[in-house]
Amino acid sequence: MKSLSFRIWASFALFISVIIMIIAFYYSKRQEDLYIENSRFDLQEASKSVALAVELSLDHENLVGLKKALELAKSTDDFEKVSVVVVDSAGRKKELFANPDTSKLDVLNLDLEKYIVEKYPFKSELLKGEIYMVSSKAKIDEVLKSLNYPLYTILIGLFVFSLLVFYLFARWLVKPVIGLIKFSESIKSNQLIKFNNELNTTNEIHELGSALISLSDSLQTERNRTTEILNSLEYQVSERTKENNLLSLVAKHALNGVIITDKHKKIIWANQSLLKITGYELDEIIGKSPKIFQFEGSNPDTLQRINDALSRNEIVNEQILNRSKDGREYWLELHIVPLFDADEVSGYIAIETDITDRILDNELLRNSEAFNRRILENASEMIHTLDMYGNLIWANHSWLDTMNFTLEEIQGHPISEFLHQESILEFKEVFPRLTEGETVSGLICIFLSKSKEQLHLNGKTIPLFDGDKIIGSQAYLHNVTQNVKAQKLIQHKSLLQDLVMRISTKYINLPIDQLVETINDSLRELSNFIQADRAYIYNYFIEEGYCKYEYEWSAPGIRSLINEKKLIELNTMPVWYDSHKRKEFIIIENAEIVTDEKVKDLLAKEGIKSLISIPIHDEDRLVGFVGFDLLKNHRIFSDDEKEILVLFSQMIVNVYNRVEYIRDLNNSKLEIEEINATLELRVAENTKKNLDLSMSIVEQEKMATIGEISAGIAHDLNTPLSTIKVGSDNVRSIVQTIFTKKILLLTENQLSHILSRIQTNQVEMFVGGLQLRREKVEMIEFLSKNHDLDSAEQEKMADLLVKARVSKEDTFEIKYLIETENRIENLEVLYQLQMVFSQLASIKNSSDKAVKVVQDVRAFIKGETQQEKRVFNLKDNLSTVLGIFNYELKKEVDLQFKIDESIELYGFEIKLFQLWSNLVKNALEAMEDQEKRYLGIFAEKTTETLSVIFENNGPQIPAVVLENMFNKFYTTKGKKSGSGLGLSIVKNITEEHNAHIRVTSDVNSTKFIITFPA
Amino acid sequence: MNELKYAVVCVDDDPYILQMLGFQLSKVIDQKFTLLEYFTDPNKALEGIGDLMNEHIDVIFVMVDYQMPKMTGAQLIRSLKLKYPTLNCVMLSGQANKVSVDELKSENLLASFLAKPWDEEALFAAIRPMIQAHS
Repeated sequence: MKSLSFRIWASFALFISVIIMIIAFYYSKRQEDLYIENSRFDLQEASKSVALAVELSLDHENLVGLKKALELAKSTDDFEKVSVVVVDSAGRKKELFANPDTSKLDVLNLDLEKYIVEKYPFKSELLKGEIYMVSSKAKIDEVLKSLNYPLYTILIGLFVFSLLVFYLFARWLVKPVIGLIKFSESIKSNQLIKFNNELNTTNEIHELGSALISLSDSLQTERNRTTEILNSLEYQVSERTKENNLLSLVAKHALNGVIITDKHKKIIWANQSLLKITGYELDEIIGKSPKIFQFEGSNPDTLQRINDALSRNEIVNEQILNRSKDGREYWLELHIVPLFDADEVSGYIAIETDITDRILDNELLRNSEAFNRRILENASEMIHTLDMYGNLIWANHSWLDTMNFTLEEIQGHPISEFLHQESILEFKEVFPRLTEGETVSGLICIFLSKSKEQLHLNGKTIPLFDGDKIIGSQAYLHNVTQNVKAQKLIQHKSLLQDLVMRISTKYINLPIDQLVETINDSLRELSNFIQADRAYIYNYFIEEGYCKYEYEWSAPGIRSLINEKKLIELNTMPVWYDSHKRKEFIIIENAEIVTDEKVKDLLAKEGIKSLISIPIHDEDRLVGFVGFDLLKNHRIFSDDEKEILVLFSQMIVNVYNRVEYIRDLNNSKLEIEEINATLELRVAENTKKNLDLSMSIVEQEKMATIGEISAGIAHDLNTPLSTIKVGSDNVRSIVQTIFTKKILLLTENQLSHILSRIQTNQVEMFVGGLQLRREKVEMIEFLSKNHDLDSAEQEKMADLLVKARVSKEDTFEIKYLIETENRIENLEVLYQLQMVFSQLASIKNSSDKAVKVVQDVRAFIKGETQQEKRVFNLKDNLSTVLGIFNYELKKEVDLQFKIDESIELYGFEIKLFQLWSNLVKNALEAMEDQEKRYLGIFAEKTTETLSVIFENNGPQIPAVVLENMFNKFYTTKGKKSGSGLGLSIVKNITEEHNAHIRVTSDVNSTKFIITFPA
Repeated sequence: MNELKYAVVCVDDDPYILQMLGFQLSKVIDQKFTLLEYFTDPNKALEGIGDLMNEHIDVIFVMVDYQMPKMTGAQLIRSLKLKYPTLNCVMLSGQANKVSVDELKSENLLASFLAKPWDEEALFAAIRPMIQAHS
């Protein structure tokens, strides 16, 4: 019985053990796989996010961000190493930046048996590479081990428990079963009788029933207990599972200290790392507040901040100084996360990182530098010290002065904040070398001062050691900004000058017909300079609403667009046109990332990768634009290049203006030619006009003279006209008288006698009344003596004889006149006809006089038709003028006109009329107020000269008048008379005859002396 | 010839004028009683008129030309008027100096004025009243 019970029990135990072992093996195996898989996933996710963070940081040149991204990766996940590996264009990989804690690990050559590696690529404009995340399998094993402890505990517990169960089972269950088996066997083998024999059958059955009842009771009891135990086990397992879940969550942070508290901030769990850090055992701290780790050195402000944050259920990130059980003070970086169960806080997880070394490092560094600092503080070089994370710890006076910062402003800031973007890249190269203990000399970098001024610094940087440990770096820099600037300036200038000179010299005196070729050539040169494949110039025709492709250069193998895109309408490119109008460049450095889909498509269609276009402005007028296409490469255009392109655009403006100028010039030339062609004609016209004008002035002056002397002329004309008029009246009346009757009585002989007497006898024009009376008396006396006539007839005959101017001495005639028939009528006809003849003679004489006056005036005003010089008589010439002035000269002027009649003069007759008349007029006017007037006109002829002298007794001419009298419009006569041109005309005419005029004036006389060459 | 009671005197430096004038005047003046006398020199005219006045011959009028050498008609009239304020003076002028004529007129020194060349009717109209007054 005993052996059977033992066998059953042992086999059960063995069976259960094997089952448990198998379960344990599978569980742990699966746990490991799951964990590794989980780790890989985590690594993947982390590397991905770090890669993103790195990309983001690089895009923004934010090294701090990069660093933080790495640190975050490190602090939140249990990774062996986080590393930034850059891949250069040749595909070479290099570790650029790593989590410094684990920098000894070469991520590029890892033993994949020992480490799990996940990587994720990143790409930025500056560089591309991969983020490596490494976990150690050893660490995982360790974690798994610690994870498996509770599992093993449970398994062992279960094993022991199952042994116990089976022992009880054997004891309480197996025994009655065995009895039952025995009983059934005894029945089978008729041992029932034997049984009966041995036992009172009734007793036996009773006993069996009791046993069965007891068995059932005990089974019932055991069942209850088992259920109870199982229930408690179930609870425990579920609790453990919960704990495991928590553990698995925190296990990731196994390298850091992890504490889990309940919602009352009592510690319910802590990991090994934490125990290691704090020096406590787990049971010592379970149920305690984490405050036990703190001491008087812990910053109360920090603690307050932590409490405040937790009370608001916020995540805490703080640094705090704590003390371990054995009194060691250590710095922690605290990361506390509240745990939520449903909406309520069910507890907190605190992840603690021991950063004592880091803090101490910094302190060490500071101590070690204290000495250096004093020496370096006043060095002329710029010196700064960085910690091993690249943060500025210290800089000397020179550094601070040059950068214009105070020490406070820079301390703790990453050096990258003070670097120009070009130098950040270099810093990224240099910094890892420094952290590996290498001295880097020949540094050339650009710092940015507080005012963002670029400072060019040369120098070196050395790592700082504390023992073997690198704790930072120190840089010694010279400010070479001025040199660099000067050098750059010179380089830039010479480059620029070269290109600009080369291009611009071509445009000097460029013949227009070579313009297109030269502009195209310039486009080629510029294209070479900026590596463009095609260059072109469009001219804007804004009013017409398009722009026109004018010039082009394209590289060999590049399609020309000059014919394809000859005209572009402005409304198809409004953005471009607006930009150009605003004098803005259009720069597309990468056509693939253009946001405007239309433009993008267009550029893609043409295969353009980059382009730049520069508006051409003449002052504020948009003239066109210059464009450059790059079809092979993307390109960033430097400021220098832009500047050159602007210069070129300006040059184009100048060229355009020059072309326009030349065009204008040509037009002007044509105009000038035309003017030249017509000039002769116009000069002739103008000359004629001027001649006409000068003539008209002379004419005017002449007419003025005529006007002034018109009264005299009128008188001189009216007097003879009176004679003519009255004479003609008289003749008519006499003739009427004669022909009425008297003449009819006369015989032919009588008439012929009368006519012959009239023709031979010059009759006196008029005889005074007194004389007539005297003669009549004498005639009567004569008649009475010699002729027998009655007294009446005697008187009548005497009267008629006297009137007919028959002298009493002419006795023969008287005798005839008395003896002839009808003697009275005959004598009357004689007298009347004689009167007619006499009056006709008077009329003739008067007519002659009038004709002379008219001739003089006509000669005077006859105009300039007689332009030719000729020889004429001086006296006649002067007489004409004096004739004109006849009337004026009668006014009590003592005229002495003494010119030799033989003197002749060569000149313009008419012009000399003007000359003389002006002098006569001038003399008459000068003498106007004189009582006695004297005008003398003389001529003096020598072998060489002929002088004509006009002398008058007018008042003395003042010196000032003498000086000006020949000037045009100079007059002393006021408005009364004269144009003020009189004497200036005298002078002109004098000069025309190569003569000269001289004036002398004293109180007695004034003389105008005109001297002609003989 | 004792019957000579009146005289008419003409003064002009132009003898043709005097001839024409004389012929015209002879038509309206009865030379039986009226002396028709001519002078070409104003000074001689002054003298002659003085002689006539001395012989108590009534000078009906003096006809004077304006423009004459040595003495203008205006001057002659002024001289005559000074001596013989009632003497009728007739001005005869080719181109009279209007100012002088107006002055004479305004001073009532002119009996009449004739512009050369004149009409016979105008002459007769001017002198007729004076002749009638003396006949």
